[in-house]
Amino acid sequence: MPLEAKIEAVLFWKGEPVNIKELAKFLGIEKETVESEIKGLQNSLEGRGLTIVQNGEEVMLYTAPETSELIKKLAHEEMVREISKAGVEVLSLVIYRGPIAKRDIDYVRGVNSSYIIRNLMVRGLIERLDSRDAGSFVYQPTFELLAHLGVSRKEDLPDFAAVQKDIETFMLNPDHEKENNG
Amino acid sequence: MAFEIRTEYFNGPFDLLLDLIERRKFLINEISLAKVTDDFIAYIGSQENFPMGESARFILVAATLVLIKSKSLLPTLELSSDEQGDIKSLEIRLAMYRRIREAGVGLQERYGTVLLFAPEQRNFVKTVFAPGNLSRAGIMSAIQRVVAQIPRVEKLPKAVVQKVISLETMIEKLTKRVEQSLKINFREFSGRGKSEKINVIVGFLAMLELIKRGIIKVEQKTAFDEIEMETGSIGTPKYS
Repeated sequence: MPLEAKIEAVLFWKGEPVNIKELAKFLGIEKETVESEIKGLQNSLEGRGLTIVQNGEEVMLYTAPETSELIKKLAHEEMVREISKAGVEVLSLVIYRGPIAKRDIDYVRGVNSSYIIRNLMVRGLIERLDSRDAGSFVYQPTFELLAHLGVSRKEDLPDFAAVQKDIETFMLNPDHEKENNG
Repeated sequence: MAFEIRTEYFNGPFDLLLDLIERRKFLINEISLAKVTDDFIAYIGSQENFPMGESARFILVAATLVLIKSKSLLPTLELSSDEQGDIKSLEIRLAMYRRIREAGVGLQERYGTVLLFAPEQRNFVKTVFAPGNLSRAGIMSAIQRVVAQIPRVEKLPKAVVQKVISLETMIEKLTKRVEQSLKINFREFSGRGKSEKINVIVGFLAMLELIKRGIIKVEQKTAFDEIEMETGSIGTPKYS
């Protein structure tokens, strides 16, 4: 049986985010192999009713964007589309710069974002990770946020690369560090 | 109005500054920043209820703006490297903030238009016991054994009770007979032995009805003895 099919079966059966590392361990193969197989599976699912959503190190099966209207009828999704201007700014930082620490969110916005971050977490749109690298909490999008944006990966968002590159350039500004320590 | 102050407070000095610049369709540079300085300071002055922490952020930006404006009015003004850094930093951060704000507009438009759905949450019952020898053939023969043991439903014959004689007719008949003979036994009345069993039953029921109505009295000396029927007072039934 092709690896792709095995991965598909596991993702279907789990029905929840599955860590790529754990998937590799379970299947007894390299993490890189799992990653390339997931890409292959995503291609195989082209034109089918399902899609793979990848969020950081985790993957999960979702219904394909083309079936959105159809499943919406079944799901009776209660959509609250209202997000405040400030909320949208934090969301875009978390998407384009995530995982991102709160201090970096505050730095870009020039204002304290605690309240908005908490609000977005309660709504299940962003989640907090305990990052060893950053030595503090970092925030990343949830699967639900990607699902509500209708993309399999945040990289599939329009202009993702361009926006990320611009922000990257800004962030490299040496002044950034100075501000953070203040 | 109170709501507006609150919104601005959350959105911070960059949001205000960017609004002021974009309202005039300016690019972000020292010239545009110098031009919006007065508006920015005027806005801070108009807000009385800034929380301390937030007002500090606004004032910090305002200080840099004043520096930019002073430089634009007095090109000969010497700035320290720290001051020049502050100006550069403000420009960069403002540009970065604008990029994020723009990206956010795109996200907002997209959010919730096309949805991907995760499997619906169900309460699965996990099969914790499945005998190892379970096979399709095994299940088939098991179900056949069960089917074989299901008790057959036996059809009980149903007797249709023919309407031989109605209770009313029998009562009439009985009343007449009792009136005539005043004393009659049930065997005679029902023609027991001579008529069909069903007539005897209807006759008995009629007799009971007459007793209820107080038209006749009955007497049976011993069990299975003849039932003697006799009228009390005909035509004036007692309802006691």
